[in-house]
Amino acid sequence: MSTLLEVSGLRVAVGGKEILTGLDLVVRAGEVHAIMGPNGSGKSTLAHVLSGRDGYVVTGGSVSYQGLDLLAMAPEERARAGLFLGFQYPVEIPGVSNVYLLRSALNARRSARGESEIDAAGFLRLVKAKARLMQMDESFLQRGVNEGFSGGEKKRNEIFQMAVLEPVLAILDETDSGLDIDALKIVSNGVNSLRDPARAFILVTHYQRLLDYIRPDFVHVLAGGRIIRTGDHTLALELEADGYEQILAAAST
Amino acid sequence: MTGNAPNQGLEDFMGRGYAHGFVTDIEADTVAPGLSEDVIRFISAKKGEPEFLLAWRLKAYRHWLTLREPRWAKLHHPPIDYQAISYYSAPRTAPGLKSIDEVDPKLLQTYEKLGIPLHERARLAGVAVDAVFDSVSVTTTFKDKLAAVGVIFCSFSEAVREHPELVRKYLGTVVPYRDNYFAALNSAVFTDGSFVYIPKGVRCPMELSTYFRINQAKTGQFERTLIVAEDGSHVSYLEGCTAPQRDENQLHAAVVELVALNDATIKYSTVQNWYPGDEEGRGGIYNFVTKRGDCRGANSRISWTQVEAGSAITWKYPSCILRGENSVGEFYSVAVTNNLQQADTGTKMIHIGRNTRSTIVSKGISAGRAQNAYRGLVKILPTAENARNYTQCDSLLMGARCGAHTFPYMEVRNPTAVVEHEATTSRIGDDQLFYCRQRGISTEDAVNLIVNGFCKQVFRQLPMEFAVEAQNLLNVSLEGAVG
Amino acid sequence: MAPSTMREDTRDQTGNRRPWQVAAEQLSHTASGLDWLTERRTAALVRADRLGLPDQSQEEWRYTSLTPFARRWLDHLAGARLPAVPEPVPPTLAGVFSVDIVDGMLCAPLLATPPGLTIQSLQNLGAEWRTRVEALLGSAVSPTDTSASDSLIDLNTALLTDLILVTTEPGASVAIPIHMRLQATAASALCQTRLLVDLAAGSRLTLSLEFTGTAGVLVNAVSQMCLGRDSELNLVRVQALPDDGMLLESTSIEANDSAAVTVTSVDLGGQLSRQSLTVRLAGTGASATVHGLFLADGQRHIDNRTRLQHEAPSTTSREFFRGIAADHGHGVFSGKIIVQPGAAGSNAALTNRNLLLTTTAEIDTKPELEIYVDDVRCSHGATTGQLDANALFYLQSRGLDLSTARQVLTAAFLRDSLTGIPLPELRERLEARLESRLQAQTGAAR
Repeated sequence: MSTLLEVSGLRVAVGGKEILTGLDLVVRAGEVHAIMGPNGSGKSTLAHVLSGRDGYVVTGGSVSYQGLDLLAMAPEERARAGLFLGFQYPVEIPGVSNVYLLRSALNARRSARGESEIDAAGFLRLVKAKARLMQMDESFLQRGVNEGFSGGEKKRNEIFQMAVLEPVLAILDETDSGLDIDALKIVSNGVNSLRDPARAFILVTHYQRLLDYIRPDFVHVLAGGRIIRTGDHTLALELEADGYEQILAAAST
Repeated sequence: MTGNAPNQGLEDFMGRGYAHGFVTDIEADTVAPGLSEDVIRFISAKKGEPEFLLAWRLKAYRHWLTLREPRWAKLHHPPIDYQAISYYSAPRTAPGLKSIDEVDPKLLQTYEKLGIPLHERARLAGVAVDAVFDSVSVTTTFKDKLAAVGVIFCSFSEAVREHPELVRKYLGTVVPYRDNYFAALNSAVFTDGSFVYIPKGVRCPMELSTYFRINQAKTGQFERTLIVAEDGSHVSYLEGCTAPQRDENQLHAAVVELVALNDATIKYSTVQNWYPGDEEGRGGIYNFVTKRGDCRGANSRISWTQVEAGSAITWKYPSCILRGENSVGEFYSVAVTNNLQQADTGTKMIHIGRNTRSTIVSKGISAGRAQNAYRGLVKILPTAENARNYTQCDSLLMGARCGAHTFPYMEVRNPTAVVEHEATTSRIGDDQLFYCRQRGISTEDAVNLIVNGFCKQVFRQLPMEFAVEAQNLLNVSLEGAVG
Repeated sequence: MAPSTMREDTRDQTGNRRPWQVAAEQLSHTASGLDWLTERRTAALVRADRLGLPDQSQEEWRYTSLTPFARRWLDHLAGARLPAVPEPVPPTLAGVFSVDIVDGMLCAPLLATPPGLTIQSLQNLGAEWRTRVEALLGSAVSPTDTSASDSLIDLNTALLTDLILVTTEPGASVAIPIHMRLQATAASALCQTRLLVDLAAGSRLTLSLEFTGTAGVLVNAVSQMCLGRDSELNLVRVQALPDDGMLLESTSIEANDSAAVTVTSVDLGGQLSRQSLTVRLAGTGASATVHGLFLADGQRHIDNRTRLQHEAPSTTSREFFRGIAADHGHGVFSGKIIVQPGAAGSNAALTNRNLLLTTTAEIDTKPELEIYVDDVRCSHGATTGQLDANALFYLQSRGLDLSTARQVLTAAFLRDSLTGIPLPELRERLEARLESRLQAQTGAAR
């Protein structure tokens, strides 16, 4: 399997404070990685810096994505190259309908690849199919992006957008937080249905329960700004049973 | 975190600029600059007006002489020299044409270029157009089809000739010549405009539209529009305007009067795109307009929708007098100012009748060094039992050197009334921009997308063809605004 | 009435000399020996003379006419004389340090002030304070606020008989609230109260001002306050003049870096009351919270004009103003938020709610935003109407009759604005007074 993402010795500071302190991570096509860790360990920072959000200063290390220098790319260039971030707190954009945003996003990607714009009928078929997959009412398509959505609806909308945009690498930042059990199943089904030998996922999560539904190939424990332990899905169960304390203590010895 | 960083992608963005800035080279009858009773007599004679109208013009002029330019608006401009303006200019071949074939091809080309084809073959489907070029109406399309259902849609001059009784009955009853400085000036020197009469119970079968074009240099445009909707009738009217790109400022002082009788509905939409001046604030139209609708009948409804993107200065407050019981007034506005444009615009809702309702939705967007003010009055008189008003007023700022201002006045004198006002001012959220970019959308497209979303409530009120035009206009107006 | 009429009146009074010139002459000896003050007074008189009294052609005075009062006021001015130094009045509130100011003059002798606090008047002003007093006297008008530069402040300066200077020591936290009773007596019905408050860096003070008076009094009060870095002021202002009294009040507060001011303003008396409150958030991180409440019943005309001016980065303001108009009352509220260039990261919100109880009453409100920088979050909301029908129904469904339900909701409406008053006894007294007045209203209303 080819390497999609290679993070080496990544150091990132926010507001003068170093949050990531030398993080290494390799993600290959077809893999699902879970990144777990206590609050404040730098999980969301990793998701944001990979997607190019402002305000994160890279002080060391490198990130290669499909052989490209990811950190030199603008957020939209990363997105067009197939990187998708599922936001922990999806923002509301009043008056801009979901389908309008998606169509703009899809066409931006297609034109970056030298493809023609998607025709209206084809686009509508696509979004309707994906909406069914996410068990979303079609009225959601015409509503403003996340406008007046509940927390769970916003998260489902993120996965729906992911399904339409069909990314190469999807980073889902705490997608499970704020979901009830039914919504969690729907979201997980959405993710599982997109698993593909050419696609990889990074699931950033605090709790193990998401991993009951999406079985990761690797589980990484992030603490103090770097990965202190890596294992298979059983590591998540171990964390669930023992909590972070023990692993942190073990790592520090 | 640097706030402006996500917007830097726009810095190199080349503006397409003002698309309608060309001049039509056409022979014109233009009266020498200056204003006097003689000039007014000249205009009136040129149009072959009845005596009552000349008398009214002269009364208005004499009253105007006693007034001073209003200074209360948040606008700054050098004094206007009213003697340096020419008050009449008409393309030499225009008036009294029997058919479109007699219209100078140059004029037809002009409107073609503006996207308003007047020729039978290419007419806008379902929209009748009155084309006003400088001081006169060039042609009105679909007149026969409208006449079949009794709808009168013609130039104001023609209405004066053909329907003097209607003009006399309604002219100045909504906006009297004493109303304000610019209304008085308009009443004295107005040259043309559109006239619409919808008879009882008629639902106008198509959209009516007037397209105003200033072409001649050093002229002012003073048009006057009168729309009367009889009991139970319904009409939707659209207004568009452009002007050439010039270094001088030109004055546009129009008056629009709407009369809605029992159960009548008038929907009036404007896409205002007069030349706004250049990046340094040179040139552009001074747009001082008085628009008012009188909901004279019970259950009548007047709805104003405006997209104000052009003009160096915009001073206009399309208003509703809610006289009839259960009458409804609406005002939906998008005002965009960029570079050194200034806008002071809003509405007045005067509640007189019982159970009258009004809604105000105003979206102001300010960029560059522009100043954009909403000014609105909601007045509930003691007679207006159970009156309701809801006002929402949002401003978006783009850049650290522009201004956005909100000046609402709420005067309530009936305890059963409920008046609500909400306003917000902010800029485009960094988080919104980032969200769009993460989905692969460029910064400039994201800005357009978010701004259009911000204006959606207003655009939704426009007829389809205009909504698309308005959206594009907004994007063009704001090009180069972020960065 | 046309505004120009009033200007004519002022000239007619004594030929070419305006009455305030006469008054100023009669009062000139109050500042004898204080040349710096005399100069300032002369200059103020010239300005006041040029400006004349404010009239309705000025946007800031759109809804309030002084015309009905002008004659009475001018008569008083012409007959102005220096009041005698008044006797102290026994304290009426427990747990406060009372200061009595009668007709603008500080009552002597003042008991020992709480630690960290000094209160001085013109008579005993230390020479070392002169520069500070001069600076404060000139601080009423911010450079950009030309609208507030009406003649009232100048008239006060020209005609003041005393000034009160309240100062704190750096870092001092004054333990006990200062309750100033500003009384006007008919004997000298033209009362020019002048209050200067200077909080040193890091100090804290709770100050309440209560305006009272005898029948027919006319008061022109000016307060100028300066909050040093990190200082905190909790200001309460109560206008409880008799039904035929008039108060014209101009207050300006300057908050420097990280200073915080809370203002609670209550109007429940007077025939005409006009308050102009300007808060300048002049230092980074400064914040202001303003609570206001007025009851315009009877024939009352109550006009509150507030201006919250963000001049420095990361400044915050919150304003909540409530009003009730009943009978033939007229309530006016103009609340402006200004964010000046450079005040990036500012956050401002204003809420104005009004209840109109009768057809003969009127409420005019004008919430305004003037924003000159994009990095802001500003909002305002205003409503005028009646009590919430759902809430009324809810109470009725719980067995209350309509009139009681109205009273309960109206009282709740009022009480919300008073909760911030840090003087419990004063708060309770105000609640009781307002509620008894409203009982008459809501009982009588349909």
